[in-house]
Amino acid sequence: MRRNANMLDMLLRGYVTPEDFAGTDTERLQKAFDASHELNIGRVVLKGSYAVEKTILMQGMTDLVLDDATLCGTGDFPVLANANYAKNDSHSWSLQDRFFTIRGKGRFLGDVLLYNAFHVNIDGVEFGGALRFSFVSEVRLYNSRFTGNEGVVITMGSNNFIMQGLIAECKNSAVVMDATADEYDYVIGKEPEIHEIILQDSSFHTSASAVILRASLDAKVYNMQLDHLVSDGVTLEIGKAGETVPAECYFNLTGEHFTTDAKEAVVIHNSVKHCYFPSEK
Amino acid sequence: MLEYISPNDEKLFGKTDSETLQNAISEAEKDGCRQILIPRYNARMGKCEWRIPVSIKLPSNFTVILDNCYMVQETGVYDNMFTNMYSWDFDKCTKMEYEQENIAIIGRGNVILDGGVHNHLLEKTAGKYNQPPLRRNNMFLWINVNGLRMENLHIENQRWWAINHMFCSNVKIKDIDFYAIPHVNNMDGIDLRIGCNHFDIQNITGRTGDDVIALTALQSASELKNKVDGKDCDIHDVKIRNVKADSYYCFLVRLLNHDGSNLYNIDIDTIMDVSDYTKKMPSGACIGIGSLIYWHARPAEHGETRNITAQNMTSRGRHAVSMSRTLSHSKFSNIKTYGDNRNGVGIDGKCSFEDVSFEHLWYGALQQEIYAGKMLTPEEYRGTVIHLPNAAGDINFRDVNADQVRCGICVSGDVKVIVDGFHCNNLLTKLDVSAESTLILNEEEC
Repeated sequence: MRRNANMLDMLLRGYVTPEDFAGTDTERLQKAFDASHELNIGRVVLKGSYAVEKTILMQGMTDLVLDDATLCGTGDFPVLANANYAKNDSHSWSLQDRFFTIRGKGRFLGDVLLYNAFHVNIDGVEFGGALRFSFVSEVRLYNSRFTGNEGVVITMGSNNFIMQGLIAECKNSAVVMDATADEYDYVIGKEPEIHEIILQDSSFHTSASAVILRASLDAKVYNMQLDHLVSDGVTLEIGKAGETVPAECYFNLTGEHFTTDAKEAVVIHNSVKHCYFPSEK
Repeated sequence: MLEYISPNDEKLFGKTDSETLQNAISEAEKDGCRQILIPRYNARMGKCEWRIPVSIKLPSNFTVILDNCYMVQETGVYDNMFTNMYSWDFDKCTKMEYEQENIAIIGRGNVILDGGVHNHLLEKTAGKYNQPPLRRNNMFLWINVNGLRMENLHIENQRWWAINHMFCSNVKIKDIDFYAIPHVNNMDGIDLRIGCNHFDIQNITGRTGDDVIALTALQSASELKNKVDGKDCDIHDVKIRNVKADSYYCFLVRLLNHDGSNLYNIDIDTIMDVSDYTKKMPSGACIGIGSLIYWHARPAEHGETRNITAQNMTSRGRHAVSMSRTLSHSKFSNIKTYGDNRNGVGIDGKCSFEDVSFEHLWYGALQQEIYAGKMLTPEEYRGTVIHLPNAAGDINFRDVNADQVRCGICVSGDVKVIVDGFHCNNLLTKLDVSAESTLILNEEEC
């Protein structure tokens, strides 16, 4: 039930807020995202703190603006995901969600998951949980802070990322690109590889290696440009000790301008091909 | 003074969306805020769409905020979507005293700018049969502007070059994403024509129907019609960082000058060719420099294309770096090829060099390796790592690595090529050097 605004008001105002609706925080949040989509307003503005009891789903063409907002998950589920995450019949390339922007001053206390989507822009947001990408392409991730166990987790089928200006204070790694991880569900029509990733101008304070790359025989990791990264320990770790795949699984990787106190900036567990690490310490 | 003027104010409504937006601009000038915000919802039409039949003309010191909106060029019209106030006024746009300054177009949220239905104004018909000039089909046309900023825009279906600059300086372009299905020629992304300098271009992505970024200093009659008195026709001091795109069969970054225009001080970092491996024709190159054609008065002379630095290129095109005509005082570093790449570094036609060097070149990793894990048989090898036919002058290479390639180094012409650190395996032919050429390979003359 809408409380404070009718449809035309919301259209003219250009956004929807949970305060336009009645219910629990979770209900109001979901109604706001649904109304934004149904009315083709395409923007949800959040202000204040919200307790999230189940995953909030956003449809494509959503601009989420955080105006000093916190979304706090109350359980072990993603706080926010795109709609495809909850649709059992949309795990196909042709049905991917498109155009998401998440920006402004705000925090997610819990994971955020993007699945089978493309055109995702995230700028200036704090993530207390992980920010996960599965079968997602065309991502711009800028100026965001990560304070959970892991920061950005990019798994199978994700490609074409530009990440700049990240800050991470994570217990584990700041950026994990893992093509070996079990997927929520494979997306028909997409390739499993992780590729075309640019990560630049970022600073990581992590207990584990700042950036991790893991490939498998089925899902290679290639075409990466990582530069101007600062870390406490190892900046880049490629492969996993004790697990071996052919060198072709890791190729065309560049890592340069790494600043670290560790003995080695780059640790390579697996043979690699056509890689350039001039700043390897 | 207001923060901005909204075109959804009833008193600003015109007969078309273009008129409404132009009224809002006039109102913002009167108010003094010099800023309009184009929201998603178009109150005049009651739709979440803005249709643009006539170009929106921007004055100096003016900002347009595109706020989560969708704008489309009207069907059947011949005009830009945005341009500066004097771009079509030849008396004014060619004079220094009418140089415009400080124009910004900033996208917020999900901004989509759509070329809509193509109007069939083509290179072969423009200016003939009562058709207008082709520049009417630029989505953005900027002429004689000092201080320009464009950010966070998704551009679809451009009718020709999407963003075109002439005699512009101090320009910052960031976060532009293209999506074009190339059904007409030359659906470029960003074009810098004569007289452009001091550009900073960063984070350009997507798919264009021709060159993604083209720096082309050519002095054709139509270009010279817009020549600004007191400004030179060179292109210089351009910084490009992070281009991750599919250029169809053309170049991700195109550098070209002729007719006495100079092209210099170009700094390029991180170019990734992400073209679709299933298409029949690979893209041209990450960086294409020069050409033997396209000149009007005379071709570029030695020294006029100079001071190009480029690093971190990943290519699956016909070349990683393609060169033609002339190049001097330039340096290229960290070049990787994969997929269908034919040549690592190559000449298109002929080229003269002076003080040009390449270092850290990796050639190989064919598509079959990537997707099937299949190793090629020697008969299937193709391409050349260093392909320099009809070369002249001096050119140096250091740390060249290749595998599964038909030919290592192919050189002809009056050229001295020094290759230091050449590591190859699985070659059918290591060297193909003509009698008039000098190749010094790993400190030994061949």
